Amino acid sequence: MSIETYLAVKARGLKLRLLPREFYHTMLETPTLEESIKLLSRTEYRLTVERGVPSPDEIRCATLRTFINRVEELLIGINGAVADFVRSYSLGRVEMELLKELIRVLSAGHKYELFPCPNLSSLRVSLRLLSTLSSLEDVVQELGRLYDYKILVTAYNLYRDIGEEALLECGLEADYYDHCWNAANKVHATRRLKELLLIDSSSRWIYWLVLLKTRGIRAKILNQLLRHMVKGLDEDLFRWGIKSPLEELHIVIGFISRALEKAYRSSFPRGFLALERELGKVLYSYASHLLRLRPIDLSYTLACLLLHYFEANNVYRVLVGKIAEIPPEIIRQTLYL
Amino acid sequence: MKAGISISRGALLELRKKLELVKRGKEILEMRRDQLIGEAYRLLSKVEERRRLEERFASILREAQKTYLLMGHRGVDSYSCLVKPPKLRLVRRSLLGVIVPKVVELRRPDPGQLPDPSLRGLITELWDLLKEFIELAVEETMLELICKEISYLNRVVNSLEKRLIPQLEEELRYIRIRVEEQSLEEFVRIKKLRDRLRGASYEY
Repeated sequence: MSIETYLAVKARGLKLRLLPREFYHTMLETPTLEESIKLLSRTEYRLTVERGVPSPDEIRCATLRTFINRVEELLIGINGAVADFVRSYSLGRVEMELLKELIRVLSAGHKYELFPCPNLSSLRVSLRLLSTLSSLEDVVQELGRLYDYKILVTAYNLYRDIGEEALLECGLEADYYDHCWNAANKVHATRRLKELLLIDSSSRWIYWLVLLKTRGIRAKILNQLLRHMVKGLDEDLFRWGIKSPLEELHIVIGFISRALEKAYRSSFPRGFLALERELGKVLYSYASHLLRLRPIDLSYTLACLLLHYFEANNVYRVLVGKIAEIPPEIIRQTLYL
Repeated sequence: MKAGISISRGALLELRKKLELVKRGKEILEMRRDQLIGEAYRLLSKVEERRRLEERFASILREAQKTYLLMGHRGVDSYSCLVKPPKLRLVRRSLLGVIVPKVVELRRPDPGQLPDPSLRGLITELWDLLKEFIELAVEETMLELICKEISYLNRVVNSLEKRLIPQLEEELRYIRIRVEEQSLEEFVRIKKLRDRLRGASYEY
């Protein structure tokens, strides 16, 4: 049995630990936050109300910890390229999210407050170390030197010239997908695995392409930053996407995926948050579809981890929404179900 | 009736002048009160817009809540660092003699660094609404201060109308009667003196 098959079999066990859709509805219908947490304490998200209502930071920490533990559990006894790939893909997502916050705060000239979560040692990047650096330049240089964030360094140089913060975030994401594609090249990447990676990276590529184009960023810079983000994408399609005006972009997207095109067409007029969410939904649907297909390769493992990641976000949104006394119907709209 | 009032024509004239001055003062205060009431009505119609603003706020709040959930609390915190905060100045001005506050916007919040245009739109919309709420709060404060002034003026006008003016009128009436009595006594005395003087001349 290959490692990929072994992981796919283990992921089948992990799939059973996904919370059912009804669970979220039950949580949303509970009248108090305490009851929701009590309900959740029966699952792996071990939050308690003994020391009072948990803060949003504690909730986020608990959800991330659960997700990281699941990834680590899955990878017990597995080393080498496959483990590196799974880690880059799943834990890299958490890492990217936290780094984005750090970069945003530093680019505004504020002091970064370390995310108070003790269970982030599994991440490749040490946030504790980075939080001791006071300037954005130092952080970017350290990330480039220690953790191979090369596109971010390029993005930082462009940011210094143009002053557009979005370039930094885009560079960070481009690095994440670049690491994923590089790691995928070292393992036995099946067609489905490449497809999953392509849908995932393309959805973000579309988002950044549209966002940076509306911010007036030139095609040359877009080419420079986004090239490594979608390595699995056809070169001509990539160039066409970079050059095409926003009104014609749906044609390019249609060649990548019909679902992405549909999401783009329906959500773009409603704004970028809607676009991001709809593109995320496509990825969620594709991952769910893969779980139903039950392939015996890494695509199943990644899809399963991806759904666990969405689950962690869903749990966080329900609880934080309840703390902020946001009506259940609004919370429901933000969940991936 | 006050004791020790000097009964003389001079005092009568003095009191008449005083009464006239008090009545004129009362009229002026009444006019100011009416103007303030008019201003209060104008502000009242503006304050009634609160409901419309609250409805608008509810719809924007839904969007803000959704954004908060999608970005997470730390995401929102980190994005808020990219927004340059607004600058406001509180000044005082006089409205019909009442010192009222006024808020001057020196700088709007600048969300230009936010990468997401929908976020920028949300912040602009929220700020516009917040500004309207601030203006409303200023108008509500103005209304409160004007109402206080109106009630103060009412008390002054009432005390003039119900107490000071009747008292002065009573004093005036008393002095007038006394002065008339005095002049009558004087007249009778003069008449008697004249009769006596005439009687003496007949004897000669």
